[in-house]
Amino acid sequence: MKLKLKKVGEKYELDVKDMVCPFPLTLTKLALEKVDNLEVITNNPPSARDIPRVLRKYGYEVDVKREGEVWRIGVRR
Amino acid sequence: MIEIDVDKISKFIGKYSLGKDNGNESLHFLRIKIPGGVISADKFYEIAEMAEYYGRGYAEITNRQDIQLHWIDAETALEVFERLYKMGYTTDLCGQAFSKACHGDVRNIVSCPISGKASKDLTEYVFELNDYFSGNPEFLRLPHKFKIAFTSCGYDCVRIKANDLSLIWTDDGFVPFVGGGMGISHPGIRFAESLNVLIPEEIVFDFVKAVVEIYRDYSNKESKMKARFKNLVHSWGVEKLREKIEEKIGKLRDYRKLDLQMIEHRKGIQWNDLQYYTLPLLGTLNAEKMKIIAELSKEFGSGELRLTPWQNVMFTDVEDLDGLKDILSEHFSIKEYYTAIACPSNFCGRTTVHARDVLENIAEFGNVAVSGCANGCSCHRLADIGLVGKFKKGIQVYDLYIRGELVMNDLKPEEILKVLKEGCYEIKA
Repeated sequence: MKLKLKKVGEKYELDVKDMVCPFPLTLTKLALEKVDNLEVITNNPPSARDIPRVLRKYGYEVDVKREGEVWRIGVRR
Repeated sequence: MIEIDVDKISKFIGKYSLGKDNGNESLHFLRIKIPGGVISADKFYEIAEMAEYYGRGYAEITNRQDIQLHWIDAETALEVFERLYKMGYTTDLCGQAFSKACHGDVRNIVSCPISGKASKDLTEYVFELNDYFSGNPEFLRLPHKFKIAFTSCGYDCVRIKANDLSLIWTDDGFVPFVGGGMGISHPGIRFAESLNVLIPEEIVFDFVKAVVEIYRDYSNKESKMKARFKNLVHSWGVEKLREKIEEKIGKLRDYRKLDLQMIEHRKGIQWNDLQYYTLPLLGTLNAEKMKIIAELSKEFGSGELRLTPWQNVMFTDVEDLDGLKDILSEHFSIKEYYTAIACPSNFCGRTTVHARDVLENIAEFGNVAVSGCANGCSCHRLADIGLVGKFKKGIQVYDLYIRGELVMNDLKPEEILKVLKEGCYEIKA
C-alpha cells in the first residue's frame, strides 16, 4: 500500500486528514525519510498538537497554520 | 510525485488508535478492547507488562470491559499495536477528538460476565460481532460511536439503558433496547427503550448488523452533537425504527416489556459447581497487582478472568474460594464497593477535583457513579447516587442525582460526603 506525496511548489504535501493518532505522526516521519520540505494536512486535534512537538524535538523547523478545523503543518529540515 | 510505502502499518489502520489525554502529564491513552470482558490470565499478565513498560505501571478497567493504559508515547505506538496484534486484540478508534461527525466506530461489545459460566453463553455472538465490525471499512466512518451490550443472567449487569443497543436474553430469544446515551449531545440524556420485539437467536447477528447499518445510513452526519443513535431513535420513534429493521431482516415478533434490576455479579456457583468471585477494585490497578491477579487466576481457577462493566475483575472456575480470598486480602484492601464507578477525568483534563478522588470518599454508599463532566462517561443518571462535575465561576463543583433525579446543584467536592451522610436533600415523590 502506497501513500502519495503531492508536490506543490518547493514542498511536498502529505494529506492525513481523517486519520486518528498516531498515524498522522507515523506517516509524517515516513515522509520525512524521503523529502526535506513537507506540509502535513490534518484535521485531528491531537495530531496537530503532537506533530510539531515531536518534530521540533528532532531539530526540524515547524510552523503551523490553522484554517478552520484543518491544520497545515510546515516542516523543514 | 513521491510515494511512501505504508505496508508495514496498513494492518493497524482501522483497528488501532491512541486516544487523546489532556491531564496528569499524559498525552495519549490506549483503550484495549476485551470483547465481553473475557481474558485469559496469560493475556492479562502480558497487558500488565505493557502497562509497566509503556504506561508507568498503571491500568484501568473501564465500564465497557476494556483495559485502558495512559502515558502512551505516540512514537512507540506501532510497537504497542504489534503486541496487541499478536495477542488478537484491537483498540477503540477514538475518533471523538475530531470536531465533526463521521469518525465513529463500534465500541467494545459488553457482555454479562457470568455468560457461559452461570448464564447462557453469549460469547459466540460477542466475538463474532466484534470480529465483523473491527477494521471493517463499511463501519469505520459511523456518524459517531456505537455501543452494544448483551446480558443473559436475568439482571441488568451491563447498564442496558446506557447503550445504543442492548440485547437481553430471555428463554425465547433476545429483547433489544435501543437509543441510550448518557452525555449531553442532542437530545440530551436518553435511556434506551425497548423495541418490544423478540429476536430469535439464529438471526441476532443479522439484527445487530441491520441496526448499525441503519444508524450509519440514516443518522445525522452534519452535526457531531446530533450524530448519536439516540437522536435518530428520538426523532423516528421505536415503531419507525422497527419498520426499517424489518425491511432489512423480515417481520419481527412482538414481545412484552422487560424491566431488569441493575446488579453486579459478586460471587456465585457456576453450572460446573465451581465458583466465580469478583474482586472489587474501583476500576484502577497497577502492573504488580495485575500480575498477582493473573497468577492467582491460574492457581485457584482455570486461568480465565472476566472484566466486569462495574470496573471489577472476576475470577472464574474457582474451587477453593476461601483460599483465594485469603491470599487476595494479603495484596488488596478489599472493600465491598462493587457498584461504585468513576470516569478517569484526571486524564481528560476536565476536572480539578477528579471523579475518582470524589468516588474514593463516597464509595461506601453503594451504587455510586461519578462523571467528571457532562459527557456522563460513568452513566451517573443510572446510579442510585450520581454526581456530575462542572465549573461554576471557575470553581469545581458537582451536581447530585439520586436515582436519576437532580436533587442538589453546585456542591463543592468537600461538601458531598456530609450531604450524603446527613441525607440533606429532597427527593421528589
